[in-house]
Amino acid sequence: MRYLINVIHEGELDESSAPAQLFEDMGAYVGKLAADGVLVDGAGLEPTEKATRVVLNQGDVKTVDGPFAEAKEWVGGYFLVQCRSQAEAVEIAKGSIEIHRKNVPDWNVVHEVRRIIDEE
Amino acid sequence: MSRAQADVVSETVEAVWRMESAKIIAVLARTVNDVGLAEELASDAVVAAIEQWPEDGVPDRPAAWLMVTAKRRAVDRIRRDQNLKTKYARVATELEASGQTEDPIAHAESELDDDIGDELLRVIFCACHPVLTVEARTALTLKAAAGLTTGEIARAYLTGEPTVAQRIVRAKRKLQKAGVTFEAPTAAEFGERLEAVLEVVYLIFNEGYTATGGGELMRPELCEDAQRLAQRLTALMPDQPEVLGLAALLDFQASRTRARIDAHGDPVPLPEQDRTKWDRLLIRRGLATLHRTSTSSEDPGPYRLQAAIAACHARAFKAEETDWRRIAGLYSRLLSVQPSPVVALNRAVAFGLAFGPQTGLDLLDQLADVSSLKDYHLVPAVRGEMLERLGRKAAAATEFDHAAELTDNERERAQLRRRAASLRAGL
Repeated sequence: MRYLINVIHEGELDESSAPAQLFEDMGAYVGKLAADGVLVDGAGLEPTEKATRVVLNQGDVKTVDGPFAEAKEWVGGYFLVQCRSQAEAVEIAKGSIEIHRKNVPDWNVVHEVRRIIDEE
Repeated sequence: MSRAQADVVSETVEAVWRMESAKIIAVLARTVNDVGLAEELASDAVVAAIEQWPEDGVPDRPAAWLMVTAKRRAVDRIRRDQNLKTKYARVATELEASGQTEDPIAHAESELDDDIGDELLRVIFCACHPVLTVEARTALTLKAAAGLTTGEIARAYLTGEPTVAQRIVRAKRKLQKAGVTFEAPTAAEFGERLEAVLEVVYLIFNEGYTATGGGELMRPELCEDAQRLAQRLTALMPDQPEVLGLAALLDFQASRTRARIDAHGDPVPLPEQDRTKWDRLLIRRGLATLHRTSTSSEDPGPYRLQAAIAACHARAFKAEETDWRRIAGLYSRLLSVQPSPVVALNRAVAFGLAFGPQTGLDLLDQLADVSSLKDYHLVPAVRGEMLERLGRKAAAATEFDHAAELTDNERERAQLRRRAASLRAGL
């Protein structure tokens, strides 16, 4: 089974203020997930200032460039893991949250674990 | 605690076991110098977790908790059991001491964080030891190195839990009897022992991929377990091209999971598969893994060659874009390192597609006397296809009819008969 773990940040955040240790620890964690054979894919995302939204609203289509003033939550990255159960994906998410707790305790971070639908 | 909460806890126990058991067993095995005992101690700890976590809640550091508990159980068992007492006198002192450090959990955690790649490898090599039957190797590997529970192994192999438990107990006894403790293979035996390890992983994958028994055509979890084991092996042996080759091969094969069976549950041959259903992420991972072998100066072995062949298919977005010349060359090399009639047959097919049907037919003729291919329906089926491409319709129809007689699969038989009939109609 596959799970997408979305790394969601809340509120305004200056990522450049994050300690280098955070990125080092996350890099090591991703390496550990790969060595454990569960990681299929994973990456960080550029900040929403560089993002574009293509929006359908009441039949109107428009394109909006970031930053998005109203956005309180934004996705900063993701893991795509292949494992036996949701419980296991949750444990994987906890590992990453623990790294955030250690390095940036004042951040609000959510890891959302979503099962990817299989055809059939 | 409610029933639902208890379920969540037992799922967490299973998840932690799956993620951490190999490491826990490896560290324990280093201490007691015995994989079988280490596996038992770790299993004891899981039983304790299943009892205690629903009461006390899931501990903050579940893996370290399991490790500490396993060690305490070890001390208890060694105290109780006179045989173990004699055998593990030294170990018991050590275990007791490590349980009495200021913070045993932190101690266990640092042990788990140590680089224990060597120990992990030894666990796998012991589990796939040549004194064991292939069946026993498979069960022990899944239990000790892949983190499956006995119940999960039983379900995967459509057998009862007691049967699997028995198999594992017997395997451990056999290892003990043969004096296999916790050793790495010597340099001289490494190649052969590695082959045994890779074979076990490949067999686990195939059991899931072709699901010999039971209602379903595949058991994808088992494929995923094998892929995971293969990935773990690549991390432990990053310089072994055959390990990388196997991991890549499994990713390529698994990438076709959604395309290889049609809506009726019948297999779809490779050229007819809907390639948009191929899993590009697995293909990408497979190509990256295979690429890591490109700097190796060793002659490629069977897994690497099979992976290279699978990569040719994976790279072709349409069947017509397949690089058959390259595949033909790879099959020739595969045949020389792994001579088998089926490889020879596939090679003939590849040559037929790369260099024209007559070349393929000539190669098929050379296989005429191979006894294991005598009643193999694919031989006349392939011959029929090549004859058809040469425009020899009557001869092709005869071959398709012959193939229809030989196959056990009803749908395939009907298909072959139809092909023969339509060729005759066009005469």
